[in-house]
Amino acid sequence: MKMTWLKAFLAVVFLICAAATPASDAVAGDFPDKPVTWIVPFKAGGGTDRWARVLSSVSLDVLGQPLRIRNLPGSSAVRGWKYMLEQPADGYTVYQASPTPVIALKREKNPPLKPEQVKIVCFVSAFRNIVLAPPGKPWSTWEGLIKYAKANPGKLTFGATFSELSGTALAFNSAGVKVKLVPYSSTSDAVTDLLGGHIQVAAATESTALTLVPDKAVAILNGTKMPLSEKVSKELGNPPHATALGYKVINFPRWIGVHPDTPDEIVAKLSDKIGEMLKQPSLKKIMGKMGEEIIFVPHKDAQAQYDDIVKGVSEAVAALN
Amino acid sequence: MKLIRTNKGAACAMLAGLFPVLLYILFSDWAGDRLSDGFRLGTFPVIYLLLSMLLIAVTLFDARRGDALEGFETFGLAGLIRVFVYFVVAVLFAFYQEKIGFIPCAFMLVATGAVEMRLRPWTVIFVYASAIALLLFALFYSLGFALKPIGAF
Amino acid sequence: MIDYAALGQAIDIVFQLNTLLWLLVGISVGIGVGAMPGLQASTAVALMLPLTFTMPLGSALGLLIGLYKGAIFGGSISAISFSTPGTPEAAATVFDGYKLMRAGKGRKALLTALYSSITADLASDVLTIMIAPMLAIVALKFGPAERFWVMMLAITLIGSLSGDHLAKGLFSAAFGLFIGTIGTDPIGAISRNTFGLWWLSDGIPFPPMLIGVFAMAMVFNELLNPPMIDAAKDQARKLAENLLKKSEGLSAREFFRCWKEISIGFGVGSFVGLLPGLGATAGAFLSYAVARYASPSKGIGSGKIEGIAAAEAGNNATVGPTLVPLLAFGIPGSATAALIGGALVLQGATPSPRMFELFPHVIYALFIILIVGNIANLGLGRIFAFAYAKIGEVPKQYLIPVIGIMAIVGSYVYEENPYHVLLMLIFGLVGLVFRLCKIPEAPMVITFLLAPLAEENIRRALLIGGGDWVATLMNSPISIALAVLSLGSIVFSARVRVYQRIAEMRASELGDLRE
Repeated sequence: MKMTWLKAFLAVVFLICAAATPASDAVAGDFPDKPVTWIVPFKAGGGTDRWARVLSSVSLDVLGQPLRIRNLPGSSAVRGWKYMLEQPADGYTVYQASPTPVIALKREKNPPLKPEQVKIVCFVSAFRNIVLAPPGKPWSTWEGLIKYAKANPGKLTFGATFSELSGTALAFNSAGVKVKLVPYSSTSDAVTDLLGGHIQVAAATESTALTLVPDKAVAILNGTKMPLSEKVSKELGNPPHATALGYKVINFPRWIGVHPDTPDEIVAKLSDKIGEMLKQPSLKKIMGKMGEEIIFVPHKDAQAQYDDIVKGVSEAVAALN
Repeated sequence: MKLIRTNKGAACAMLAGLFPVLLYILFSDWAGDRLSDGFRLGTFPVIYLLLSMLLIAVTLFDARRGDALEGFETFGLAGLIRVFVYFVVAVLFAFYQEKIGFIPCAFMLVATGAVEMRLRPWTVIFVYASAIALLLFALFYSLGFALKPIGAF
Repeated sequence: MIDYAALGQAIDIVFQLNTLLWLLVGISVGIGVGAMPGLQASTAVALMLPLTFTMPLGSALGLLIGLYKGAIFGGSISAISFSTPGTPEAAATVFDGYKLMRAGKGRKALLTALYSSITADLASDVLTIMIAPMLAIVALKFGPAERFWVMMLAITLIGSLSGDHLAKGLFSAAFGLFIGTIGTDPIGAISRNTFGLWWLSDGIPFPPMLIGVFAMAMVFNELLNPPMIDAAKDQARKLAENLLKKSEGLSAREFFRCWKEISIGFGVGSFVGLLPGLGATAGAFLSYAVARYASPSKGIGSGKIEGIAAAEAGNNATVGPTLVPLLAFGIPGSATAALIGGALVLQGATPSPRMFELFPHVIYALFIILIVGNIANLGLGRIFAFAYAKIGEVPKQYLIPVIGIMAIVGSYVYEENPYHVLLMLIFGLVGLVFRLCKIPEAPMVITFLLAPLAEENIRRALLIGGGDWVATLMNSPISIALAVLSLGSIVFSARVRVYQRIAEMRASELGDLRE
């Protein structure tokens, strides 16, 4: 009797260990055959987190496996990146981020890793930086702002978060004007100070801009490479687009990446599957409600665009000093 | 330990502890870097650290410098070792619970605490630590934390 | 002023079985989550957010607000029961709460926390809904320079938390300033003072630091001198006996004795909540500090229900006002506001300056749920208070190991970061040194919380003002008034100190005469 109990116990222990041991070399054919760990390097409840949770709501239908979301915030999203690099390069650990860690890594003297240490799976969306000014001021149009800033070099105060600041600094540089850059820790703080008249111009994402235009603010420029959708552009009063003006600016995508040594077939498959997830009607509906735009860029184009962005960020960060 | 039993002694010990930090900042490669608003990266840390050291130095000379600190009366090596052991077990828990598994790690932690708090007999420690470990696991698991009960060796 | 049609619509939304049911679910889960150190209202909300995707407006708001309210009360449960603030907002409750718990008056402490939270919360909700648009305009007047002065004014209050040895209290504050600089420079966005450790580049996170200073320091202190071994049977019998005893409740008279502290909490909390960035934790500590100034003879800090009332009223009174910037401008002023804003967006009622025009029924529904949530919290909270009050009776040999592991697991799950556990343990040692050397912890906590914000704001103000200190700091009547108030607060605290000293001397002289 005792022996049977012992055997049963050992069997259970064995089963638990077997279940917990990672599967050996993954093959693209049956990828994924276990849950995928999805690293969100920001706090729960933020923009990236919401994206990940919405993606996970359709993953079982499309991918055949659930997503295990892990919020690993810290060190400007670099901690989650480091964690991803410490896991096996089998495509089962996925990292979803924004340009925040890239900018942070480019700022640091001794960064703990390089922005190139990732293989880009795809982009799922992108933000635009909308430059906002209060209505009825000499700098309430883009031409007016350039004129005003040229007449008062280095006087016009421009507030935004560090990543919005670095992106828009490129537009100001291209336009040949010098403004005073005031960093904020969140967009809402910057916008509050704009509304209170403590700073003269601010940058915000399009969703924030939409809540303020036209009552409290005027949108005077889309400071990113990507144009606005027709509907949003109209609602914002058709602000000029930096790229159309011939400015050298960058994109701010929401990107998804994996360990740089992950086999290309697995990355391509993951990219296809995410593209398919984004086409699910239920996902489209929730994203539409949240005011998030789906802009899918598959693996083959995303990697090159990402390399471009890293280059652009280096220039933007240099422009800030 | 006799030295630290007064305000004066404690102040000396703390100054000795803070001084290397000051040296670290002053000789670091970042403290002198100038930022876009004109301040240096080390300005605020150095000012605040000097302020702390100044205030602790005040207690070396004020009217209460000789006051006894009762907390140190029963302070001894055995107690320090207990704190150190608990500290180490806790660090091991933090960095290895993902590999070893939550339940054995939590058991170790509660058991260490209970042994050090002189809970006896051993069977009570065993039952108590197991119960707390299982309970905490159940609680966090039900809240959606993907903790591993027993890790993969 | 009040739109009755919209009010009627809002009442319809709120008083539905579904809404009320989800509210109760939210509160129960929230209390459970909040009572775990490291887990906060925002964690609870993030975990349950996917549920709200498909809910109607009333149920979604009910669930989220229930979670939030429950978590706030839950935070004070563990502050009182384990000396471990479950959420940072509850840290100021530890001072008096845990002392009462160990004195066997846990139920009294928990009920004080519950009632004063709810009173202040209700009052601030009503205040907010009545004058939200006006408050919003006042809030906008506060730019970087004005915010800097508010923080200075707050920092001058640490005098009252400094204990009887002022130099030590000020050292504690200066040390808090120093550890607040660890992390990233607010203007340069570059790491500073991180000792070359990449995982410090975000600075020291507040919850693990608080758990270290309050809970771990206590565990370490107990480990230095563990109790002698009793006979095991004896202990077990004692435990069983104590668990059966009913602990002392809170009488209406005792509660009304705290009216002054609750009013202070309401005033301080509402003001602090209105300003972005300060938040509920600052509200709690500042209200606690003001209450100590206001009645030095009450002995707040030595295990008095008045201390709990001040801290809890102070943190809960921030709830209504933090929603003002969200509702008036669509800008979330706090993490809570951001998550409520997120839920509103999902329901198609995007917060914007035109919110009062476009969705008045949503705003009314929101506030009615806030108020109803308070009442529901009262009912559920009483049950939890009864259960947790027993913890004060558990012998230390059983209790300390549990507090230890809760502190460790709590700081780990906060962001699943093992380095946070390491930091928490280090702050446990810092707290132990502070205890042994009789240095008060509260000044360190306050300056650690406020100094980075103050630095960020003054440097931003200087940047905007072109580096002219005088013109920057005296830029508006509000700044000048706040500067004068700060100065006044320093003078006042110095005078209080002198009078106290004189009173002590007189008392000891009288004692001598009697001999």
